[in-house]
Amino acid sequence: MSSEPSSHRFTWWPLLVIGLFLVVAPHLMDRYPRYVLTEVIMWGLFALGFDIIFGKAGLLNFGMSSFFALGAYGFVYGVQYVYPSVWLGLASGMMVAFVFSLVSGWIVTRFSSHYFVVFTIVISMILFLLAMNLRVVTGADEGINIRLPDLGILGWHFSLRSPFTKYYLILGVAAVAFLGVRRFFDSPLGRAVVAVRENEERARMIGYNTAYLRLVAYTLSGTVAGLAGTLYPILNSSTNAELFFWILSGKAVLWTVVGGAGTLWGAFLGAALLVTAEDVFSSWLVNFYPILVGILLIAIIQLAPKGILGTLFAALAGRRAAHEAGGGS
Amino acid sequence: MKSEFILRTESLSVSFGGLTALNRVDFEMREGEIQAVIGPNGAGKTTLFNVLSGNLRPTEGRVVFKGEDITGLPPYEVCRRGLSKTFQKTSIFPDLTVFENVRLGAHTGHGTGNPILRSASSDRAVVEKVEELLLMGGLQDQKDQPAGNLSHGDQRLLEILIGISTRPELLLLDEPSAGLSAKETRYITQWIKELSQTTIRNIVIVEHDMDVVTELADSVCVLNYGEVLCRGTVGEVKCNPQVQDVYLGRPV
Amino acid sequence: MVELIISQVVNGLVWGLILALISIGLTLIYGQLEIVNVAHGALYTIGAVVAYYCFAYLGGWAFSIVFSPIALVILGLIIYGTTIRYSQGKPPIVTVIITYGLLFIMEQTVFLTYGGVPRSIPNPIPYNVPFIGGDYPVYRIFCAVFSGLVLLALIVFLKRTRYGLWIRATRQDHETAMNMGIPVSRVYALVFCLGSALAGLGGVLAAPITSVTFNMGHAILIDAFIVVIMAGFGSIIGTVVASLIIEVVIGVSAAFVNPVMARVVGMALMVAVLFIRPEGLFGEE
Repeated sequence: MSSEPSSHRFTWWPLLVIGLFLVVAPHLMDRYPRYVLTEVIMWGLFALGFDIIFGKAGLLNFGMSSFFALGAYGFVYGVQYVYPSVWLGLASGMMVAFVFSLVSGWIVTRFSSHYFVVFTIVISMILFLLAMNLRVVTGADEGINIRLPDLGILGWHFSLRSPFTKYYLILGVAAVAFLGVRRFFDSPLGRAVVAVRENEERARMIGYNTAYLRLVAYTLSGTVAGLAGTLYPILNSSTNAELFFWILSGKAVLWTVVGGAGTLWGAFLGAALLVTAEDVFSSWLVNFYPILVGILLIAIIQLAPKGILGTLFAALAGRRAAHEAGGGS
Repeated sequence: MKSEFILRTESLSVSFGGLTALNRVDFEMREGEIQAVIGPNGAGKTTLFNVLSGNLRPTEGRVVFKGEDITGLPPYEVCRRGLSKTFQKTSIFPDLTVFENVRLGAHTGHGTGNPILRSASSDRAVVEKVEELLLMGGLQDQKDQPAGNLSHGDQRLLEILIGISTRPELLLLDEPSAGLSAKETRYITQWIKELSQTTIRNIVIVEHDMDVVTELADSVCVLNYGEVLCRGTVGEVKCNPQVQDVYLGRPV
Repeated sequence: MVELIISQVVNGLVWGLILALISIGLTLIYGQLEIVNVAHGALYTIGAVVAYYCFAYLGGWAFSIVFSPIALVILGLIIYGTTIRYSQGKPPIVTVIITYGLLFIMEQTVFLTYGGVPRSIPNPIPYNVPFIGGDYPVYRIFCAVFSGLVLLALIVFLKRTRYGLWIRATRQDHETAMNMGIPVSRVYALVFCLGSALAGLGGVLAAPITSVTFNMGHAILIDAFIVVIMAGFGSIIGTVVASLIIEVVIGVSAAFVNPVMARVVGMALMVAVLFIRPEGLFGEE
């Protein structure tokens, strides 16, 4: 949350190592671990959406599940009623999330701190109630099942019944989004978003329209979470209204905070650790999982608010600084 | 008439509830001068600065900058039109590097190209400007440190560097010597003097330290109870009996 | 139609007074500790669950008027002592995340112990009084009167007692209060417990009207949030007025659309108010 690793120092090799691992990994795994890994990537992308608004822009949005669910429904409706193409589904899901973020963001980003938090909760809870209520549209808790069309790439066709196709599609989407978001936070506009988090008054005094920048961050965050949502029906061939429920927003908060808010990588790390834990222990933990989520949230935010990667980066930066100071004099 | 004053206010008034903080203030600033605004605590100096920089909307009156009415514009617009302000209470981005602190401002004044599609550190014009400014402030060795790690004196310098990084035509300095030792104050005073000769010609400065005012200011405007008591050169103001009454007569 | 609307207005006023208890708890905690208590709805749920247990095992819902607040004061003390106390002075983001964690813990605990099945409590005062073209349940009138009395007692407490003075002094400026010898942390604990107890009382009163479910706190949390934002965080009289307005609006809308849409209307009203007065109806800037 507080330390800001300057990304240009981040060398290329971790990206390459992780990338290589992710490309090879599914072939070394059984069906179930492969499914979990696919899921982790999707949830990581969702948490990345939260990290944009929370870690980078410093705003606590407790309604992330709305974007995810809207992305999922946008995909399903696009594919089922407009044209049976995965690409169209991705675009329509993102579009729905984008429009919703823009409109809701236009209202909520006028307010800061407490009002902002409360607004996001109220909106997402009402959306959940609406979704459960409009059974005709959403299928409520039973949801909507969908027949996935084949994935067409330059005239080639891949069946999405294959878990490998699902995996690589989801990995590809997440990777492109991740790199794009990283790039954004390297750009002048992205840095300005961080500046607003750090010191809004000063940012305004050096020429930045901070309300606009908050809206940009909010919309980007919602759109990325929506993109993650489009992957849900790809993975599960269905969607349901419970995706709107606040517990999903809570998980995004948890994953990001555990992994390290503001680091972008942390969202994926947190999701990897906790989704795996959830899956491994689900048989005997299922009822206690929300309680565990609560305890973990409280413990982490009190004891290690920077999360795993935040703490690690801070330690590395400290060592580097000490090294430079020692070498310089 | 039009080009004579780079900044002027026309009967500027600000009141909070029943309290009048500024009362029909006509402030005038000539092209190329350093003007000091002095006065006892609560005289309205900070309020005047806040109105000039767009942080506060005046109850009445206008602010005219470069012949253009900028009354009520938001601070970021005021800044983009070339009027920059530094803070009395150091206001930097403590967790960002010193380099980036200056870069953020420099992007406003010197940025080119698309703000999304390129990396912030690849804008040549901006980076060169930042290096130049850091060199000027003597902070080039600490540029990769988080700004919060700097000493108080260096943070005061950084504060001003951020202020001028936006390429302003007029700089409002709010007590640059606040919290500095006598030695540091002398240093920063000389530094500002050089700055005014090389980089930015128009400076309005609020300052309590009369030595700093005497050293820097071409003219002085004295505020008292939200009104302009008098104005003139440092010498003239010092000799004014009214000013001596309210301000200089007492030990400062 | 007119009769329906009138009865919805009256229902709205009754609910508004119950909601006022809950919202005031929220706004007191915010005003004092600067905490947006996301777990507040769960405290209301626990109040209602205790009411159900009183009905089922002690033989009378009425016991819960005493037992629920006691249970919630104890719970409030535990929560304050284990988490809130340590979050003082941390950025609002941290405290909100903590209460968010508490929400998870409390709601799931209720789910695991009380269960997921809605249960209802029979009307404790099964009489009606004649009312424009029909009958009106006495119990609801009791709720309104009882809530009104609690609100009055609360105002007297804040205005007239030493603790009330301390609460107001701490709210103004906690450092000065500390220097004056006011036991600030005890005041914080008191306010947190008081807020929890009020939420619990709200749950007790609501239990026989609605059914008691582990997640009944969600809808009320939405309403309470809408109220405190509309009133402006921290204002007590404003909170009561906003509660009445919101519940009447939601009640009357519910005569035309389904309950969920009625809530959307309530939220739209809140947004409209905020666009006109960003600090809320009664808030100071």
